[in-house]
Order: sequence, then C-alpha cells, then structure tokens
Amino acid sequence: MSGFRRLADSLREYPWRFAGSIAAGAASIASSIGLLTVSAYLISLAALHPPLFELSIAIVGVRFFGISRAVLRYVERLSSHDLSLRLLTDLRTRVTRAMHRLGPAGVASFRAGDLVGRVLGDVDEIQHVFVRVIAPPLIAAVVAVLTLVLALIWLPVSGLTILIPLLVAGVAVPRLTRRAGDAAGRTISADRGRMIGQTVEIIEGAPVIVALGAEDQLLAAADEAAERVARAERRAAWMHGFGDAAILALVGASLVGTLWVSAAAVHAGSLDGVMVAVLAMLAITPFESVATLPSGFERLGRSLGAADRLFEVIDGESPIVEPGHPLPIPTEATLAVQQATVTVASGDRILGPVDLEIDPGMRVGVVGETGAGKTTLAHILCRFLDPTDGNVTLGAVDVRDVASDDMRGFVGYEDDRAFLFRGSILGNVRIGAQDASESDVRSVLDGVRLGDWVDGLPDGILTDVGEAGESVSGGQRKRLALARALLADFPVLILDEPISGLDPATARAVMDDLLAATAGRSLVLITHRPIGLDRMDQIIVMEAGTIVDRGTHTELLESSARYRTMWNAATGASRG
Amino acid sequence: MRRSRPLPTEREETATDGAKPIDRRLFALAEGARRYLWVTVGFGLASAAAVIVGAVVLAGIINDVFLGDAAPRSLTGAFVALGVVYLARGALEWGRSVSAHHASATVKRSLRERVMRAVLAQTARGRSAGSGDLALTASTGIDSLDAYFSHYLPQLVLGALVPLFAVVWIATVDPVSVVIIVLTVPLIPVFMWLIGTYADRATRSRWLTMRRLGDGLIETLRGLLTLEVYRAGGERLDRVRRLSDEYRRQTMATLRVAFLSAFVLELVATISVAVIAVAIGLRVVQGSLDFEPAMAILILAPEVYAPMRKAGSEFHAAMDGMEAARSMFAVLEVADADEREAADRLPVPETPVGAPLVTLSDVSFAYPASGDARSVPVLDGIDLSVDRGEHVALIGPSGAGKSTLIRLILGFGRPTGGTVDVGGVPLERVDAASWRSMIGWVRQEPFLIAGTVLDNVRLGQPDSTTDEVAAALRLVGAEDLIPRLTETIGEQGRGLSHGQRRMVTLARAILPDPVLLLLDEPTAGIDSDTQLRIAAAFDRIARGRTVITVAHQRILVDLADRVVTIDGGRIVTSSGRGRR
Repeated sequence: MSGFRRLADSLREYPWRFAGSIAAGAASIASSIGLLTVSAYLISLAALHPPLFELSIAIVGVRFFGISRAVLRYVERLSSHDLSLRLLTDLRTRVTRAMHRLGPAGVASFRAGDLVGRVLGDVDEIQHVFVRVIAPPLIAAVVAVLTLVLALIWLPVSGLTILIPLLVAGVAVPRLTRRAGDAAGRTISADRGRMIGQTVEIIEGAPVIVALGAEDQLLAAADEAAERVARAERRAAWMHGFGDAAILALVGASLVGTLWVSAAAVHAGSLDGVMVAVLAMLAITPFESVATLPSGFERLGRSLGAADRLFEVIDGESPIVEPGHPLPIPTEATLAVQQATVTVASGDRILGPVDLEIDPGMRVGVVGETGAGKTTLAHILCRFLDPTDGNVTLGAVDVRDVASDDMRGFVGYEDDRAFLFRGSILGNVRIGAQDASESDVRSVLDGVRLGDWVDGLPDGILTDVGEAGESVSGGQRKRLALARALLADFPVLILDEPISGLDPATARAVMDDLLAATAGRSLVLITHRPIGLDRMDQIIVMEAGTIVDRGTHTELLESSARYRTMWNAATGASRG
Repeated sequence: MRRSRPLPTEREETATDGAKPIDRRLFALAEGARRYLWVTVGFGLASAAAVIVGAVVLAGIINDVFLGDAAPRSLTGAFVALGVVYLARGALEWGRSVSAHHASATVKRSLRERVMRAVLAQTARGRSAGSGDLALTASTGIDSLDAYFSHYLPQLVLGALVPLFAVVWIATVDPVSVVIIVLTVPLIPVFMWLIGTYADRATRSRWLTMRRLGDGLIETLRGLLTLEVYRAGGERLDRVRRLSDEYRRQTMATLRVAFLSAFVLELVATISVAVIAVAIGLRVVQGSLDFEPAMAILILAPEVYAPMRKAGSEFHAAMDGMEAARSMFAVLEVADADEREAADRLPVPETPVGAPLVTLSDVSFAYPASGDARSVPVLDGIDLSVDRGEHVALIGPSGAGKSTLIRLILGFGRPTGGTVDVGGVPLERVDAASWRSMIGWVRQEPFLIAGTVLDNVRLGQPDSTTDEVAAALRLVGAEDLIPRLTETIGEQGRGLSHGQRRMVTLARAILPDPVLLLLDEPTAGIDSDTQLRIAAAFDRIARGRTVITVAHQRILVDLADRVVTIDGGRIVTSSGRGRR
C-alpha cells in the first residue's frame, strides 16, 4: 500500500474532526462567495434606485457573510492544525514503538544518523500532506458542487464556463506542478547534498583546515558547488511561479466566459441584468479553494518520500520472533552457543559458526579487531537477534522458546558508550530495578567506588547528569553503567569495552572494581585492551566472525600469534 | 573577504526584542541580490496597476451589459482587454516569483560563503565558532530563508503597493470609500505587529518543547540498547506520547491566540469590504455615485486587503528563517569585529637546533564561563620549554589538559594567564599562518574531506606531486595506500579503516616537511597492526624534527627524550630519558 494511502487511512481514527475541518473550510469559502455575490447584487440593485427597504435583505446578507467568513476561517484553521498535530503524535508513537520492537540489532540495519534524521525531519515533513494535500482538494470539491448549484439556479450555462477552468486549476495544474517539483527536486538534490557536505566539512574541520592553510582551496571548492546549486535553484524558480500564474489565467478564462454567456443571456432577455455582476463574482471567488493546491502538490513528492522512509521503519521486520507459548526461564543454567551463524540481508555472513559455553560464575574474555563479530555475538547472547543457523540455549531450553523480556532479565549488556539518560543519577542507576530503594542504589554506587564522588555533587544522588550524561567524565560514566547493571542483578553480564577511552590508571582502577563487584556471576568481557584479561577463565580471539583461538591468557601468549601481536601493541613490549 | 558595510550589532537588535517585519541585517546581506529585489518590486508595481485596470474594465463590461443592454459582440474589445489583463497578471506574478527566487538563491549562496569564511577566520584567531549546531544551520537551516525572500518579502511589497495604487485611483472617483480604506488598512500592519510580538515569544517557547521532543526521540534512539536491556522501552513509549501530546496542546494554545489575531485581521478586512459595499450601495441608490465606479470599487476592495493578509500569513514561516539566520549573524558580527583589529605581525624567528622553539611560561587556560557557573581552569601554571629537535611525550589522565596545551601551541586560543613564546617571540605577535605552516598536527579524530586519498594527503599543499605524496605515505608506513591514491573516499573517510584514516592524516602532516610535529594520541583507537606500523615508522618520521606527542601507549612514550606528566592542569612530573 502506498505511503499516501496509509497516511490517508490514519485519518479514519478521527472521522468527526476530519469531516468538521473540511466542512468549516468549505463553508468559509462559501461565505466568501456569499459576501461578494450579495455585495454585487446589492450594488446592481441599488443602481435601479429601488426603495431602501428592498436593499435591506441584501445589506443583512453582506454583513452576515462578512462575519461568518472570518469565524469559519478561524474554526477551520484551528481544527485542521489540531488534527494534523494529532496525526503527528500517532506517527511519532508508531515510530518509537517500531524502534522498541526492532531493538538495537534491528535498528542497526538502518544507518544510525539516517534514522535520527528520519524520525525528526520526516515526521515534520508529513504535516504538509494533510494540511496542504489531502484537505484542500476535498474542500475544493465541496465548493465546486456549491458553485454548480448556484450556476444551475441562476444561469445553467455558466456552470460550464466556471467549472471547466476550476477543474483545470484544481486537477491539471497541481498535477503539472507535482511532476515539475519531483523533477526539480531530483536535479537539485545531488548538488545540494554535495554542497551541504562541504559546508559541514569546512565548519567542523575548521581547526585542521586553518592549521594546514587550506582555507582558500576548500572555500573555492565549496563555492563552485554553491554556484551549481544556485544555478539549479534559479532554473527551478521558473517552475515555482507557474502554478499561481496558471490559476490567474484560468480565473480570467472563467470570468471572460461567464460574462460573455451572461451578456448574451441578458441581451436575449433570458437573464435579469442585475445578475451580471453576481455571476461575475461567482466566476472569480471559487478559485480561492484551489489557490494553495499548486504549491502543496509541488512538494508532495518530497513529503511522500518522507512517508515511505518512515513506513519503512514502522514496517521493519523484527530480528527475533516471540514464542507463542513461552517456556519459563531456568534459574541457573549454562548459556551456550552452538554452531551459531548470523547472515545479514545482503547475504554476507557476519558471524559464525561459533561455539561457546558460559557456565554460571564463569568469566569469558572476548578480543578481536573492529568488525570481528564481537558485538553480533553479544546481540545473540541477549537475544536482540536470533542466529540464522545454530542455536543459543539456556540449560536445556532453546532461547527461541523463551520470551525476549525474560531473556533480558537473565542476560545484561552494557556497550562501550555506557549511555546515560538525562535525569538524576538515582533515576539512571535504577533504570532496571525501579523498586530499588535509595539505600540499595547507594550501596551499588559504593561498590563501584562512586560513593564519595556522589556525595561531593551539588544535589548528591539527585544530581542531573546532563544531556546524554555529558557532564560526567568517561570513567564515572563507565562506573555508573556498571552500577546500574549490578543493581539490575543479571545472572549473566556482558560488558562491551568497559574501559575504552580511559587513561591507563583509570582503566586499571575501573577494571579492578568491575571484577570485584561482579564476583560470583557470569561475565563476558569484550575488550581490545589487555587490562584484566589475565583474570579471565577463558579468552576467545575473534576474527572475521569466527573464533580463531581460545584459552587462558598464559596459554594464548604461548599459542596465538594474533593474541601476542595485540598484547604487544598495547603494552609496547615488542620494542627492541 | 571584502566587506562592504558593517552590520548592526546584536545589542541594537535585541533591544527591541521581537519579530520585525523587516530585518536590516538581511538587507545588508542581500547586496548581490538587490538587482533581483528591484525587479521583484517592478513586477509588483506592474501587478498592482494590472489589478486596477482589470477592475475598471470589468466594471465597464458589467455596466454596459446591465445598464447599457449591449450585445456581447459589441463588447468584444473589452472582453479581449479583460482576458489580456488576467493573462498579464499571471505573467507578472510569474515574473515576480522568478525574480524573488533568484534573489533568495543569491542571498543564500552569499550568506553561506560568508559564514564559512567567518568560521575559518574566527578559528584562525583562536575562537571556537564551529559548533555542530552552526554547521546544521549553515547547511540546511539557511534554506528556511527561502520563505523570507521568495514569499514574505515580495508579498510585503505587494501588500504595500496594491493598497496605495488602489487608494489613489479610488480617490479620483469616490473619496468617501478612501476614508474607509485609509481608516482600516493601517489596522492590518498594527495587528500584524501585535501577532508578531506575541507569536515570536510563543514560537520560542514552542521551539523549546519541540526541541525537547526531538531530544526525547533522539535519546530514545541513542539509548535504545540501554532501554531494551533494562526493559524500560515501554515506559519510554509513554513518555514520547506524553511529550508529543504536550507539544500539541502547547502548539494549539499558541495557535488559538495566533489565529485569533488572524481572525481579527480577517474580520477587519471582510467587514471593511462589507462596509464599503453597503456604503457605496446606499450612495448608488441616492444617485450620488454612478454604478460603474461603484462596481469597480467593489471589485477592488478585497484586492486592497488580500496581499497584506497574505503577507501576514507568510510572516510565521519567514520568522522561522530569521530564527535560523540569527545564529549566523552572531558569527558574522564577531568576524567583522575581528577584522578591524588588524596588527603588524612578525615572521617566525629562525631557531637553531638545541635552542628553545616553544616556551610556555606560567600558562593557564579556562574556557569562558557559561552563566553563573565558575569555569574550571583546564591548565593552571604550566611551565614548559621544548628545544628545537627535542622529542617530548605528554602523558596524564583523560581530561588533564593535554589537548588544550597542543591547541595553545597552535595558536587556537590565547592563554588566560602566562605566555606562549615561539623562537623567543610571543605567539600573538607572530604571523599565525606562517607559524602554522611550520607545524604538522595530527589530532585525535582524523579529519578527511570528500575526495581522493591524494586530495586528502595534499590538502593545504595542492601543488605536491603524486611522487611526493607517495613518499609521505611510505614514510609513515602506509605503502598499502599508494596504489589507492586516486580512489575516492566518502565523507569522513568512508571506505577507509580507522587505521588507514589515521595514516592519511599522518602522511598529510609530514608532507610539508614541518619543523614541529604535534601528535595528539596518534595510535589511539586503531587496530594493533596499524599501531605497530606507526610505532615502527616513528623514528623515521621524527628524525630531525621537534616532536610533541600526547600518548597513553607505552610504545610511543618510550621513544621520547623527555616525558612530561600533566594532571589537573599542572605538570606533576617531568623526567628526561636518554634515547637508546
């Protein structure tokens, strides 16, 4: 189903609001027609110098339509905006729900930066569809019917002279502007993309550019791209004005045609002369309902592109399938990976086959370069992703038969970013254990040696960590993430690069605390730094998705050249 | 950059606080587009004239048919004239739109260029101007100026011209209607101003909610893994819905008032039309006004109010563009101020090997405080002298101030206390560009431009030959990149591994044969193979140069003549180590 249909369908949630907004819009334009036709009638009648009371009805009519037009316009604007904001809320919620369903593994298949842009930019872009594309043609249709009725009453043939231009203005012109808008969008977008890339490049790389003295070189390149965009925009400008110009010409056609037929009718004696001015006004005013169509349709292509991208996320296929009748999760069991592989949509195998057993209380180190499959392994362990082939089992149970929510309670995962949410330290630490008391939180903070730091903060445990935890240093952030994982009390804990980005002294201190605090539980430690690896029960070395070596630290230093290289690079021991 | 005229200062602008129909600063920018703006006004004048001619011709036809009982054929000339007027109005509208869009395209291009120049100029003077926000505004935000230049401004011109022309013409036939128009038309700008001031404030608060909403979504996306691990995704869903609903309610509250003002505006316009209609109707009955001019006035009356009302409705979109422009004005104004303080700069003195090349005496540095918060000093009384040919390693915990020190040596920012001397001359008196041309700097995050590997290595040295570039790559141990010289790498180095990106920036730093190498964690975060290659190439790279390395890895620290440990913005230890 097309993005447009689905957007239109979402209006079904609000049938009355939708109908009300269309009715108010049509009635407001009807009032315009009323105001001008009655005014024209008033003046024409006045020219015949009738007694004043004959004019009074017309005078009342003029005043009535003058006020009702403004009132109805107000109602229409308010209701259409309210409706479109409601639709946006629904859409945002649907996207959030989709992200929740896709999970980190599913979301990773959309490029991350792209997805943020999608969610923010596209949701806003879609606003235009309702206000400028769906509602106006419906309003125009109602107005056209009303015009036809009036024409049939006053001078049937004028129905043709008004409606034909109106139809062209409401159907053919928007169609043309839409096509032109799509074409212009296509030609400009590549150049624009390049120019935006260069602008961002120059602003974000400013220090390097200045240090290299490359200002003029890059500005010249950027200017060339900007000139190309400006040229394309100037070309596209010819299209922007076309819609408005075409509609004015069509108003002219409607007016000339209608005046001609009414003049003929008056001359033939079949129409009262008073009606000439009235029909002239009827020939002009309905075009108000189609005035915004060309510009609305000009950007329809863009809006629908946004809709398609959003629906792509909303329809995104979940990387795991929830079992129909979930089995209970064993309390203590070995988490095992058997011949598991993960193949992505493109057909590339990014993991496996991999075998791994994590007994209760066991500590496993995972090392390997970026792209070796460490994160994918973590994803299948906490069931953000099911393996394409092979199994992940918990004791005798295949994790596919366990509810993913139960699985999450069993396996915890902290990745290298140690993401903190805006809000207090308390809120962040008890994110996975909402009913933990403040003293519980205090004791885990003490366990990761953050107690003194927290006491020194202005608001203690209630201090806000700032946006994305920006006011917290790297080491403290890693410790906070560890604290929340400890509080959530997972039997198995996966820590992805818990000491990355820390200087050696801090890294060693965090590692010591981490190993002390997780004593007794299963731990999977993913790292590219040597710190702490000598205290693992088993280390696996990964490369290109598979486990190439395994053993303890001492064994691997003996047997694995890869492990040795890594160790040496990190410690500098090979120099000589 | 050749500046043409000073822009008004920020203070002048904020003093009035509120949206204004026209912002002078935008006009200052519209220099190159002025021609198009005049053409736009010209089309507007012609349009206004056509509107009046059309009304007169139409009234004439109606009069002849209604009161003169003319046959349509006898009026062929008038009908043709009427058709031509409407065609002309369409053509003039078209022309007006084209020239307005031309103006907008020109302004956007020049603004973008000026912002980029200003950012570079400010960076060169040690002010940080390039935030992510600014990059976003300068790249996509500028496009919201379209609404200002292609819709609002031309409409405002029309809104002023059409009533003026119409009033002049009506005055010749019916002075009484002129009184009504003259009394009511000024109400529209007054209401627009009222809406503007209110809406501006409301828009800002709405921006805040919207940003919170956007932040909430981004946070959900960035923290998705955490949310899912801790089973907090469901609660988050409620939060997004709640925020979204709050946004809707706030927006509606704003709109209710904004539309209410628009409603009053509309009411003024339509009731004025109604009053004019009734008034001329009554005078036609009395015989004090002829039918034909009365009809023309009736046709013209709505046209008097329409363009201005339309300008009012474009006002909000135009203000969004202004909001985007504001952050850019700030950058431009600072750059303009900088330009005025040009001073005589000395060349960098020749320094013999073994003599001090860079000397920091009691250097302190703190970032400017924001709000009431005291700013924490990043550097606090640093004394450090590096001789020409010496190799110094800076170590210390993350956030100790090592990168800040490197930036001060580059002349990005002046110390808040103490001095930085190069070759015995204070850095601020030395010509910064020539000092920087002597330095090869590799920072932590590699900066790559979209282009080929070759383009990237010889960035800043566009005249270097392929052989020279290949030699630089070989020197740093990146032979594998030599066959890939002409390969295009995407934005931020897509297509290259982390290690290869680092290699490219290292080769770039070496290419101009710098006297001083500043290496900020050259091996951090890259694969162990590349780390080893860089370490192996280190002796070759450093030979005959002065090198300051920030490093955590022992492998690089061991190569230094001297190791300086910095913690909490102070030098805690400094130990010489003989080179083995």
